[in-house]
Amino acid sequence: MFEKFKELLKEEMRCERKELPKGIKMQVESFNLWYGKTQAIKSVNMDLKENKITAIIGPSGCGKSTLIRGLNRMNDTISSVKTEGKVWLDGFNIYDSTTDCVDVRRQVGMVFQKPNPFPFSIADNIYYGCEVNGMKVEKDEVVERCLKQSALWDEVKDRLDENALSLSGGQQQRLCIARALATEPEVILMDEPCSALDPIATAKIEDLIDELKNHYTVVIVTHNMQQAARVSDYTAYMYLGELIEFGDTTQIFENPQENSTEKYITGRFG
Amino acid sequence: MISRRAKDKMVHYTFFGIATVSVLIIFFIFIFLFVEAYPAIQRFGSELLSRDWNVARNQFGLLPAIFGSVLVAVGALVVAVPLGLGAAIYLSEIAPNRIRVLLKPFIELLAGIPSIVYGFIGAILLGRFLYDTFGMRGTNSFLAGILVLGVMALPIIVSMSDDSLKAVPKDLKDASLALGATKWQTIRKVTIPAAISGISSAVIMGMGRAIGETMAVMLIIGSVMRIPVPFFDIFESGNTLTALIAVQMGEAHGIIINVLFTAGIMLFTIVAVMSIISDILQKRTTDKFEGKR
Amino acid sequence: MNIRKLISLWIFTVSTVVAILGFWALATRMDVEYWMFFVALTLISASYYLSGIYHHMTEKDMNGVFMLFYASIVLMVAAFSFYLPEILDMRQWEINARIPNFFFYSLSMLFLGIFSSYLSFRPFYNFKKEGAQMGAYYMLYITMIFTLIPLFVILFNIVYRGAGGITWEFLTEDIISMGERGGVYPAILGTLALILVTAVIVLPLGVGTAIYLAEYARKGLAVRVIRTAVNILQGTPSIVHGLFGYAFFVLILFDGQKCLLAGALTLAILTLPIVIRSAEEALNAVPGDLRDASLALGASKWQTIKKVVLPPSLPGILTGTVLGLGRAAGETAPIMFTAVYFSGAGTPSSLLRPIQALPYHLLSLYRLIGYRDVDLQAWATALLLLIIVLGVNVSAIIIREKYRQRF
Ligand SMILES: Nc1ncnc2c1ncn2[C@@H]1O[C@H](COP(=O)(O)OP(=O)(O)O)[C@@H](O)[C@H]1O
Ligand SMILES: [Mg+2]
Repeated sequence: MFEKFKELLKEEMRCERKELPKGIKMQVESFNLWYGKTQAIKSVNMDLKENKITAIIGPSGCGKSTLIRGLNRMNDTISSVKTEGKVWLDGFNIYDSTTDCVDVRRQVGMVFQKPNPFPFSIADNIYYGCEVNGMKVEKDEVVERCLKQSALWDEVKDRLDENALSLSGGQQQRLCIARALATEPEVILMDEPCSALDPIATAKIEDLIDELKNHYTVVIVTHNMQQAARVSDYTAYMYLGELIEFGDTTQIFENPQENSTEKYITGRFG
Repeated sequence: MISRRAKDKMVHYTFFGIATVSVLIIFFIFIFLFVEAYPAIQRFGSELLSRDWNVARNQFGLLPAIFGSVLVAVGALVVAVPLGLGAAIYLSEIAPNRIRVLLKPFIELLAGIPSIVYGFIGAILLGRFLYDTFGMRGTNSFLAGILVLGVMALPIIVSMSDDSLKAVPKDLKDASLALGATKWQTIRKVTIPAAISGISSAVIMGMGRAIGETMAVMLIIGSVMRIPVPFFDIFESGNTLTALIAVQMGEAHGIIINVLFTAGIMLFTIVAVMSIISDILQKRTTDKFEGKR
Repeated sequence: MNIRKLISLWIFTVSTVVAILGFWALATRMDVEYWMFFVALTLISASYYLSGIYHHMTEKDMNGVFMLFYASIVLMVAAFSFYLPEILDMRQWEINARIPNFFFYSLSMLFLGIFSSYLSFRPFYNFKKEGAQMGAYYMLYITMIFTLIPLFVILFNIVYRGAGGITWEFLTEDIISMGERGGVYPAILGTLALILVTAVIVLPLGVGTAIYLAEYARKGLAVRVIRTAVNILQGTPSIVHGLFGYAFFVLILFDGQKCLLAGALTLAILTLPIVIRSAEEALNAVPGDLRDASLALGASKWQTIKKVVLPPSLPGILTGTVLGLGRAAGETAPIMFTAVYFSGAGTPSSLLRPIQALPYHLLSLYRLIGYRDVDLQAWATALLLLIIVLGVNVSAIIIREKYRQRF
């Protein structure tokens, strides 16, 4: 109790730093995560390269979502979660006690499995991130920039004041991507962004992801191996909370080193 | 021996009959109130809405009681809404699980105390306290009614708002958090706006409870048929529709009984309209999150 | 140590103490002197000046000025309150109150104290958005506390003042000399009889309606009508039930004679919506595939309901019914014209005879206070009524927890 109190009164310290090798945006270092007593992530190490797309694949329940939510501390919202290990973003450890997880989430945006626009207007949905982060920007400009970046501008430019829930599923998901871009993040995490969409909407999102990598570092979770092969530069294969294999997408798909990876990719289980 | 199918049909109709009886009761109440009120309505007409009440001179204007009911209910909301909403937000969004489990029964307890007990305590302790503090002419006042009804409306407002806040889908909150909003920003800008129709329905139900409450009000309002001057003078005593009925019914005879039934119809109508509105609002919340998404 | 945080913590402590003192003074009608009030507010103000000046020296933004501004306002409130008269006679504006100055002092100590401690979170977190969050949380704690205070005041007073009156005589005797002596034995039995008869009437009606709604009715106009009716019935003020019960049951059915059955019928209407709602909820909680499984095995619909749906939902139905009865046990308005007398009715002997009941007993004793020496009896009756009503509620919760079904 008293210790906690002293902690609270302490001077803000500078947090620990580490120079990451050139070209690496994020680095996961012996990361463990527990839900209560069950361990969902087991000592994962992984490098995420700048301006590249990294896909995470694996059978369902293997911890893909948990891992990707660990990259912007979204797991902190679940009270039973405990973590261990470090995740470096540009040389700062986002799990450092001095790091503000709210700040981390502004820098590392996230798109969820189910499209989840707010029940506000389209424009308000996009401006929301700027508003809560106190960013001094012109609303119209942000809305236009983000909608153009997410290839939604032409479809909605005349109905920016309409409720976002009136959009179709695919449009909603692209709106969610646009919304994530508004806070000017450096990394974008996507957790099965196409699993609730039809093939045409999926194709549009895939094109968009390819576009995004010019400006952002992208991590995408998918259970669709063709999708991983199509869009990603690097692929990580997870199984039962462990990172089994990580490498170039072509290498993983054409010449997997691990037996279990090969089995999964050739569809013999999972 | 009846066939199984025939038996099934019979059971079906039996239950339909029972359900019909339940519904008929409600129409029956209304019709009955109306039949009993009719002589008064026929005889006095719009005089019933005037402000003069004098039994000796056969003047039965219900306006002071209507005014009193509204004043007390609005006042109760002024007390109960900020407190109840705050408590509901605390319980549903912030409190750790074990504290929520600990506190919820207390809110239920508050709802479980009989209204006569509220009235008794209000009249003896609160009335006296206000009399001493504010140097009023008597221990009965609108203020006492407002405070007691405020407390009585609290549990409804807390538990209904709590429910509607909890109904906001988690992925909406996650979306907001993932954009770098704090938990409080998320509550303020996403959760509360999303739950707003449920919260309004909670407030309306709280007001309905305040308007319909009888025993507690009857003991502390003073039962004086008069609109205070100035009208916001909550330190005066007055009357409400419920207290008027409860007090007068005991010794009433003749046309005054019919007048009291008219008061009953007014009450019934006000509260029925409020529960219908509240219902529509609540349905809108569930539609928003279940129908569309 | 961080000086900014230390100063903020100091502000928080001072303001909270002032708020608590203000609350205490308000509750006990303590005669707060002007100088006490002045010292308290000046202390808060000075702390904010300190914090503002320190902030201005270390950071170059406007937040320091904001704090100096707030400090000045508090100081001004303290200074100008000097001109409050000893007693503010509102009767000059035709308002029926004469408010002493110490009331204003303690009230502003309470509110300014709370608000100042709320604001102190801003400098503590250096005006980041976390500060706004913690401040908001603090205010929410406060509302939670103020929500619970009335409950504890009520419980404390009833137990403290009523416990002495609960004696053997009180529990086993009838009223003697207008409640000055004797007890509430017939009233206890009357209340119990009332809820028993109510239960017998309301259970078949309520559960039957719920079964129709949950199992038979298709979504459509009929269901909408029933639901709306149930909702309106639930919101109907209890005095309206009393009116109806009097006009229909007493005057028409029982020839102007108040009686147990008339009261129970009225209470049954009052509890009906509660029973319907909770029973329907319990029935709906049984998963649909269980019904399908039973139907697929060739059971008829009624057999399915009887054997598969009803047993697991029984605890839920029972909980709802008992909760409704708990509410009925405490009601006064519906029974006072339909079933009860203060004295003379004796222990309940027939459905067609009037009874005595605890809520009405409390009302009658209250009316005698000041004329007769019945204070202790009244408090004891309130305590007993509370115990019975809460006892019923607790047993409902026990049923719920013990037989909770998981699917
Ligand atoms: N909120 C939670 N509480 C407890 N366990 C969870 C929670 N979320 C996920 N899990 C468990 O963690 C494991 C990994 O889940 P997840 O990351 O969602 O898998 P994936 O996304 O790969 O399908 C699963 O075994 C799952 O049951
Ligand atoms: Mg997943």
